[in-house]
Amino acid sequence: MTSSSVTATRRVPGRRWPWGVLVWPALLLLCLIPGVLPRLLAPLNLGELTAFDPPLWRLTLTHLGLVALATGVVLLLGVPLAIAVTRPRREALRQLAETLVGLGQTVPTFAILALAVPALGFGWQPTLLGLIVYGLVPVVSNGIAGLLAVDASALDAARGMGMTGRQRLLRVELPLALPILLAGVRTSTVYNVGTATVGAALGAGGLGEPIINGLSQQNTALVLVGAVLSALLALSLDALLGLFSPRNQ
Amino acid sequence: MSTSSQAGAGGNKPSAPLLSPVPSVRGPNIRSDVLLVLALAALPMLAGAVLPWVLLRPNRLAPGDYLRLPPPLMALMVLLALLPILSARFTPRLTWLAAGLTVFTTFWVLGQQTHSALLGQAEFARASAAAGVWLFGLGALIASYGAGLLLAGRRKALTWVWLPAVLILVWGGHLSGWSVLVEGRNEGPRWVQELVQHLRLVGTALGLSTLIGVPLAVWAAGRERVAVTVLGAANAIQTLPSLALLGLLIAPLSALSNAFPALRQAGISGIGIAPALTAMTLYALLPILRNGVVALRGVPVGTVDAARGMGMTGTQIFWRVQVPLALPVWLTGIRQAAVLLVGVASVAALIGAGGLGTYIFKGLQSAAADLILLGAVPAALLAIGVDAALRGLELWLGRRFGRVG
Repeated sequence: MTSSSVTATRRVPGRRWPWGVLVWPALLLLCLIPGVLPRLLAPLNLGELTAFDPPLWRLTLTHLGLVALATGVVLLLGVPLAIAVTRPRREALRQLAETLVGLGQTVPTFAILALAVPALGFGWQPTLLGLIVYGLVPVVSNGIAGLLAVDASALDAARGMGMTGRQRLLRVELPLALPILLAGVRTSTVYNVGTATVGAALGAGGLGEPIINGLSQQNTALVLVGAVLSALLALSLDALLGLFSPRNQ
Repeated sequence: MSTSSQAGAGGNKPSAPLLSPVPSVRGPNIRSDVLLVLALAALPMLAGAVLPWVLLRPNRLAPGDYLRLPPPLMALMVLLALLPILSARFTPRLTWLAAGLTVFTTFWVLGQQTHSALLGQAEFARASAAAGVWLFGLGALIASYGAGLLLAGRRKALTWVWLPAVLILVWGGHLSGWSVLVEGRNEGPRWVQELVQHLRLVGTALGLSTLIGVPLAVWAAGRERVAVTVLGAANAIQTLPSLALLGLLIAPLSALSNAFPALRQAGISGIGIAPALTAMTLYALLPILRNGVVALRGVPVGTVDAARGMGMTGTQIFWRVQVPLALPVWLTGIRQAAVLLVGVASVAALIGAGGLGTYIFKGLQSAAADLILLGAVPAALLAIGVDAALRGLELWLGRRFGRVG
């Protein structure tokens, strides 16, 4: 079912070669070589950069791990949820899911992360929970939108061919909804790179750590290290996931 | 949405609604799925009834004991958890009352249990809400949402029947034993100050970014290359973490104030309200600019042509045709910006700009859950309130100017 959607995306006219897939990860790796980033920032004269105690590559891996784990759980939870609420005669459940998703979009991420602390304690666990809650929003809403946008006549044709409900779901609905769903996964992952930086305030580690330390020590160079690296990570993931989904907007 | 090209191409069947729930679909089978929602709501309520309700600690930082409900009350709460679904099954017209009762009882039992836990304890003892309260409350709110689906039109307001009752409880001091309110009473006027500061930050940044963003969007929308560049840049910056952007914007400001001491005396430095406002304004500029450009470019060419054919001048076309047609989408951008700002403002406490985030950071530093709640819950409610208020404004303006497109 993936092959059909991939060919569909390749046929989009005017699609340029995605240079970002090469450029952003290359820049990220370059910045992670010990000593490169401090030397680049030294001429700006913004603050002292001593050796990083957890090395930068480890902070980046922690960050990436948190985001990847959250995205995995979000996929496992979000896709079945979107499927479950778009079945016939589940109108009320879908409205509930859409309302909850809307709330998730509205409530500040930092508030969600902070509210998880009393329940789960300090560390990476509340951040992971926050990332999952926040990451579910685009996946569920895009999943619902994608499944609802499947043409009724396509479903009728499938029914006419004698497909069972399960076959219709796997062979018609999901493949047709896949591009929109993947766009949701992309949004979810990229936003979560940003949300995970805030998690450093809850002791999650990751690239937010230099930012938070720099802000509280008034060391702008330290802030820049974290900001540049997390921005590059977000752009890299965005470009990589963009390979799988058609360009929208 | 990008999917709209698919919809509407079908045969005589009406195409499925994309995002917003459509009230007209309330057919004869809605009852069965509302029952499903109410059953879903009963699960956390049942779990909440048997889990501990109160965490009693000798002071606000010490570990404490978890207290369950006394058995008769627990049995009552189990019955209450099943009340909405039973009511929907047998007397559907009164479901709103049953659901409202569950929400109200959550608060009432919380107040009553915290009070009785604190009886005979020292002054510093704190009684906080434990997992049971949160789960039962969550289920009760879902139940009242489900009950609202059974009501039509103006009667939907009945789902909020519990709100005045709960406000009376808070006002009357019934919840005064709950640790979050104890903390809030201790903070008192300072908390109100931080709330006002939060609102001031959001309001100023929103005002500034609207003042800058609206003319900029009008200018960009008429120029193909500029519009494409603006949209591309706005999308790229959206992928940047807000905390990172806050940090990145502070860098040039603090460099400036380092280079020119005069600026520092004017209050511009890497820390405080000025950099927070700068960062927030730039961040809010993105949705306003993006939606403005999209909205103005979305005005159908035929409509503009028709207006020109009627002999309207360029100014008249802009004010009487383009602006009214673009306004709803534009306002959506301003609403998104406002909601975003409430969130960014709570992080801005980190650079000393104040606001409700102050309590979140204080609570995180001292591991005091009550302080975190005191900052995070109002921030969340504020975002929901701002969203609802601006949605209302959008609806009103849409009705006034006629919603097209």
